[in-house]
Amino acid sequence: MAYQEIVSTGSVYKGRTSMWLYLFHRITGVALFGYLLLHIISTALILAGPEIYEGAEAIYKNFYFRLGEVGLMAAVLAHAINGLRIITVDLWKKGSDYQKSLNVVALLIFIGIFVPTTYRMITSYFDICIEKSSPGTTVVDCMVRPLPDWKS
Amino acid sequence: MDVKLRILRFNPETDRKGHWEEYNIEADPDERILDLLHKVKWFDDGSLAFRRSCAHGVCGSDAMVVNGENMLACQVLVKEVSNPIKIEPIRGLPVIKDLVVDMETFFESYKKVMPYLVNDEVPGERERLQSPEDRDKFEDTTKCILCAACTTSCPVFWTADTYVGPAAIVNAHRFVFDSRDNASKQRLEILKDVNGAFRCRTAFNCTTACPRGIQVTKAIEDVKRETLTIN
Repeated sequence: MAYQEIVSTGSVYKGRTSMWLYLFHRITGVALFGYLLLHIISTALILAGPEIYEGAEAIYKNFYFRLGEVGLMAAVLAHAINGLRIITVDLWKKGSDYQKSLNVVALLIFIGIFVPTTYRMITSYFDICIEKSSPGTTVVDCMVRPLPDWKS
Repeated sequence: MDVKLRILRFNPETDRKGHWEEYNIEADPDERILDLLHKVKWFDDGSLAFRRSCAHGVCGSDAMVVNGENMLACQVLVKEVSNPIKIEPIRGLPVIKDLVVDMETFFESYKKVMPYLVNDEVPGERERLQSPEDRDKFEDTTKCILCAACTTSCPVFWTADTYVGPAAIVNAHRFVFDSRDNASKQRLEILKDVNGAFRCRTAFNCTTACPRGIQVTKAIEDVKRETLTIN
């Protein structure tokens, strides 16, 4: 008999928050793994000599990569907190009874760490940039050009 | 009221892929989704294939995806869902025709967990006694009707039918926590496997989908913790 799976029906299953958190956990997990590979490659360039290593580092020293780092921090943080939430649901006897509250708690912890960390990451970038630039450099200048003298 | 019914149809003899077909039906708000399917099949298009048996939410034959969520067509009223009503076969199992799927992998997983009482000891002159407290431990999981609404709502099962799935774990739970049963260890050994209870990633879709109101994820969590107690 011609058994056949129907794929791509064009409709999405209406799961609740936990289903999307499951998907989110997968996506951030794979993304972080991808980042880790790139990070290892980038760090391993030191084996080819300091010039090549610093050449690669220079690519990262601008505001857009700092925004990327904020995204990275958010992904690590969210993945970690969500992981702890899943462990709690798994190992705490009443975990599944309070799963909705645990979702909210996880979100609050995320916001509580994400907001101040992001603030610190962004402001410190501009502080260093303005400190190392010639007088009269504005925040907008720092956004459009690479970080000067980042090695020292 | 006028109801627009959109059904994902698939005919293995002519189609390579499923396609949506639309039916306009006159229906009462208190009619069930199953009644609409009957109207289509009996008066409009006799080739529509779907399963149903008791039509009262007990046999578990007519689980399907209604407006993106698993439910029993015989349990849900027209007024309870938004119009147009989209109906698809349950996911993760091969479609045989229209809303009929091949349940073989589902029942294989069910059989794997030994869903029956194992006790070779002589029961004595009367039945095996059990305290009400011990009975309560698995009360919730006795309600399963094997409709597959939970298993086919599970995002893990959609991508890996090797996972035993919520329904099998629920039925294992029913005997694992039964004080009269002697095969808990064997069941837990099976559920300790990589495709066992810990394959559950707590998406809670199964709990929402269960037409019997079983706290499916809670049962899976109980089994998960129980597997940690055996060596």
